[in-house]
Amino acid sequence: MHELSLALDLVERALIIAQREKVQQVRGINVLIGPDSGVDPEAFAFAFPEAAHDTLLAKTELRIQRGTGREFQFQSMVVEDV
Amino acid sequence: MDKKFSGNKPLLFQLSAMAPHAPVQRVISVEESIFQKNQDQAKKNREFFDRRGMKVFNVMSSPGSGKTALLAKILPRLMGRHPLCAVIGDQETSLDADRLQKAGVPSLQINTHSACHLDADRVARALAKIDARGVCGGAGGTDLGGGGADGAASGGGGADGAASGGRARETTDLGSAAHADLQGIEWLFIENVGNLVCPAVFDLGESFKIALLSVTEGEEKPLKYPVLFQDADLIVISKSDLLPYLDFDRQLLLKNVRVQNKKAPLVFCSVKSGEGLDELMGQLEDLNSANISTTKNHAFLERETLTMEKP
Ligand SMILES: Nc1nc2c(ncn2[C@@H]2O[C@H](COP(=O)(O)OP(=O)(O)OP(=O)(O)O)[C@@H](O)[C@H]2O)c(=O)[nH]1
Ligand SMILES: [Mg+2]
Repeated sequence: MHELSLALDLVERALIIAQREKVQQVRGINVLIGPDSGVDPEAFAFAFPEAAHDTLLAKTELRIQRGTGREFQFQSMVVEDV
Repeated sequence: MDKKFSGNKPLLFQLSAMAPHAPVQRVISVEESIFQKNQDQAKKNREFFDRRGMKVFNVMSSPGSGKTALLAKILPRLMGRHPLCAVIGDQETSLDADRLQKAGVPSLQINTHSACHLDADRVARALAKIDARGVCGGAGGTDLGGGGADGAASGGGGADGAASGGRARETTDLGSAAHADLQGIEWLFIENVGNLVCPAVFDLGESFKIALLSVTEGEEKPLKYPVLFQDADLIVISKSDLLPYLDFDRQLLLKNVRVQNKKAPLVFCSVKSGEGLDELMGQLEDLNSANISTTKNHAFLERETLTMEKP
């Protein structure tokens, strides 16, 4: 289950960006996962709430778009400002 | 997962449509790899190894394919020509580092506890620990045999817990420490945690990836677990002494390997019969002088770095 440690990395990165951009809420996070990335989308979706627990992202919706190759990308976040 | 969903806009529109008077929403475009954190540290590791002219081999396989047995067999024979040391990843215990120490190879055990793979940061911290503990005997390449076969240098499994259990918030800077203990070391072997899946996607900053597959695991593994075999620079089929007892189809295995990887040399070997060991050591020398790093894994990562500045 390397997906959990990758979800922790995503949450950490998203929190840094959220803090820098002074956002109040993070509504959604969009990620792109390709079939050859070595990352299982289901396992990643399962791990994300665990990684986001007790953070600003606890209620954030994770949207996974399927790629075509080795993509494993943090594309964007939908936020609300202060 | 919604396959029709594409890009950021649908989610934004959807949310604003649901709550027209909600606080202002906006989309922050990030466009970076989620591997980026590991990748940043892997880059530092690679720069560190390059500065020192070290070649690093990341050895991966499922549990029990014979990684430690193979290293314990060939490393003592390679040490004369290339001062070397080893870092071993397992969830628990220092059994494997102890085996290598016993074979005369300076070794450090890393315990990953719950994690099923090594990552670049664990390797960076292991390098610092090698230095702190004097694993290589401060050898400068002269006294490598005496790397502490008493086991002190290999470290108890528990002793590593504090350092490897917590997640580092920043990447580990390798430039600051002197790393005198690694002075003169040419080759570093990293035995990854036994697992065919997870280790394959974490770049450690290694020069070369070596995939092991034992003959008892079956010919179809390269098809079932593609990433490890796709990225390998060298593929070792281990325990070849067991072939007479199995219905193992060499041609089928070769075909399956080549589906994933056209180039990597493939060596059948056995630590029991000694078959293929000379050939394997020759392949390591070839990699060493070929002087090309594994970059397949990183090519697709490097371009996804639009928002790399730290706050
Ligand atoms: N017959 C035979 N047995 C082997 C060979 N190599 C390893 N073994 C046996 O396979 C078992 C596992 O070997 P290890 O070296 O511990 O395997 P490993 O890949 O390091 O295992 P983990 O570190 O737990 O992932 C041991 O019982 C070895 O004796 C070989 O070439 N032939
Ligand atoms: Mg082992």
